[in-house]
Amino acid sequence: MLEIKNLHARVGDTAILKGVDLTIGAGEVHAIMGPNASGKSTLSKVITGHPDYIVTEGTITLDGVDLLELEIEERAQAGVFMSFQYPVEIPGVSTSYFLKAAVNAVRSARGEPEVDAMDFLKLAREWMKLVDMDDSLLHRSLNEGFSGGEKKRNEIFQMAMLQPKLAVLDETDSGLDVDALRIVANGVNNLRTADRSMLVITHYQRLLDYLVPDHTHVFVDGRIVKSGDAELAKQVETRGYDWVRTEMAATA
Amino acid sequence: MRRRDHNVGRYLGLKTAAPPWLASRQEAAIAALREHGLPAPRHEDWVYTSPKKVVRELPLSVRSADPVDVPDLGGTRITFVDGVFAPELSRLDDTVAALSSLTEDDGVASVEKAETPGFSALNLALLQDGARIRVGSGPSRVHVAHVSTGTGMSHYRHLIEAGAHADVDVVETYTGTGTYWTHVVTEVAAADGAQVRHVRWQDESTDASHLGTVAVRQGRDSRFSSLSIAMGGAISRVDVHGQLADLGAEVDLRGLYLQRDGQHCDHHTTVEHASPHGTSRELFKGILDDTARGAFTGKIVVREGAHHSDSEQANNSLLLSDRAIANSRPQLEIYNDDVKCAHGATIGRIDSETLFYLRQRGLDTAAAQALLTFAFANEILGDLPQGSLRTALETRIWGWLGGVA
Repeated sequence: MLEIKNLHARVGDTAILKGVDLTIGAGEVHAIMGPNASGKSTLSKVITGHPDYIVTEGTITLDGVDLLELEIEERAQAGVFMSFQYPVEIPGVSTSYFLKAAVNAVRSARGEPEVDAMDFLKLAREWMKLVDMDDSLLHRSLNEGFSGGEKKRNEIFQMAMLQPKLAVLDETDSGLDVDALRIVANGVNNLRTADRSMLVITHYQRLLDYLVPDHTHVFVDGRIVKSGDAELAKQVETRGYDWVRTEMAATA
Repeated sequence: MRRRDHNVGRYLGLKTAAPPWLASRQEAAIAALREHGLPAPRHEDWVYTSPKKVVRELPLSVRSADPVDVPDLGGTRITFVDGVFAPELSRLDDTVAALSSLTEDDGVASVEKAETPGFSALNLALLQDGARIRVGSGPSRVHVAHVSTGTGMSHYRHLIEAGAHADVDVVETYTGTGTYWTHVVTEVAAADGAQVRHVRWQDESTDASHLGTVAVRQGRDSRFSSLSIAMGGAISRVDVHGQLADLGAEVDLRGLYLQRDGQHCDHHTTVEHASPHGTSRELFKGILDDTARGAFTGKIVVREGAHHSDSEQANNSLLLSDRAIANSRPQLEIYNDDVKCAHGATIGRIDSETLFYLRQRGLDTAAAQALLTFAFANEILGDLPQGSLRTALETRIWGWLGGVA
């Protein structure tokens, strides 16, 4: 279970998160929608520990573990995974080499035995089917020359291999056509388990047609201003973020 | 400035065990050395490395009785220990022989001229031994191993003669322990249509000095490729001189230097397009940590008649510390208009967003850095054919990076 309480964070001198409260129970999928520059992607960076973001107040815990006390890789080893909006390309390192190193880093931190090359390949081929990835991509340089859709599928594949407790999907739908969107969403749906929490950050509702959240939150100006179920996402889509802002102004 | 150091008397009385047929050329070399001396500090070809620091005032090495480790790459091998041919550590075939075992003139110093002033003359004057690799046609693979135990300075000279359409692979390795100076000149004559792939893997003791020259003369439609790996040595300097002497020749010069602590490594390449339709490619990559320094000078000369010359040069450095230094100096001398000539240099650091990505996947900073550094090196390594050399290099480089292959 992820628990975020009264989270404030800044970049440089600019305050971006201004009191975020969010609890995602085990097995739940929460969506965060928000306009550009609302701070929703900052939330994912703060959860994962990006060094540019400074937490000034509040707490983040995952199953009771204080994430803010942990290094970036320690959070990953504790079960935090982020699907990047812009996955990096690393010419010269194959996806298989990189991912085997990552899987074994996480496994050894958890006191589990490392997987050998054979078991890794077997497991990888299995999970690649989930997102309809050709296993020749394993031997190509990580994301080099991959299309936008291939990169996002690769993110979900990595998520499957790493089996996180908390998966943060940062604008995973950006740059995807409808077919790729469906494949990615199907992959994520297949990774929904009773003990895994997911946070889906998106600007648009269309991903949520395929990846139906248990709860939806609207993020404006650095905090959650409205929460609801999957229906809320549809309302936002038809009525726009101005509707939320107007409502906020009315209640203010 | 071509500043010279004429204080060479200390070398002139040294007597080496070179074969008698070399005597007249050694005398010529001594005369050249007397006349021209050695390059002095601030000589224009020595701006990043002081010749005085490369030279070690040591006696000529003598073969120690200590057992030595020789890297095993499989196949044909000729091994030299402390300047001396070691038959018991060699596996020869009929393409390779030690100069000391030859009874007649074999063309040594025909590519790199004996009269060439400077270190080449010193090398010839003090020559102890070397390998003669002569391939008439067809394929040949030879490993030339040099091991030092720290007994002094060793001067080697190798001659690779690739006949018409021969296909030759030569790998030189340099390893050792203690304080010493290795000085080696490799001459390559590639006849028409010959393919020569040359690798020098310098992994000397970090207390050693290493000075190497590769001089190449290429015939029509021949192809020469060279890879210079520099990992060891307190100080090392490698010169590669390619001459595209006939129509349609191709040269591909590559380098990869990994240096840390206070190591200093300098590569100096010269490619001379002397004939039309020649192609040259150069890619040198440096990985520099701590206070290490890595320098590259790439000189390209396109002669007046060498039209349709095509030349590309790149030198990219990765700095792993704020105190490491990379120097990069392209020098183009072009004497006709009908050429393509591109060059570029970059000096960079590990990208922080990429590092974040890898750490988010669970790799600690050291492992992530090692992986990204290996990726940088892999642009060079990845082009080597699969085999014992590539496996050994990859393992060694992962070890250098502190990671596990």
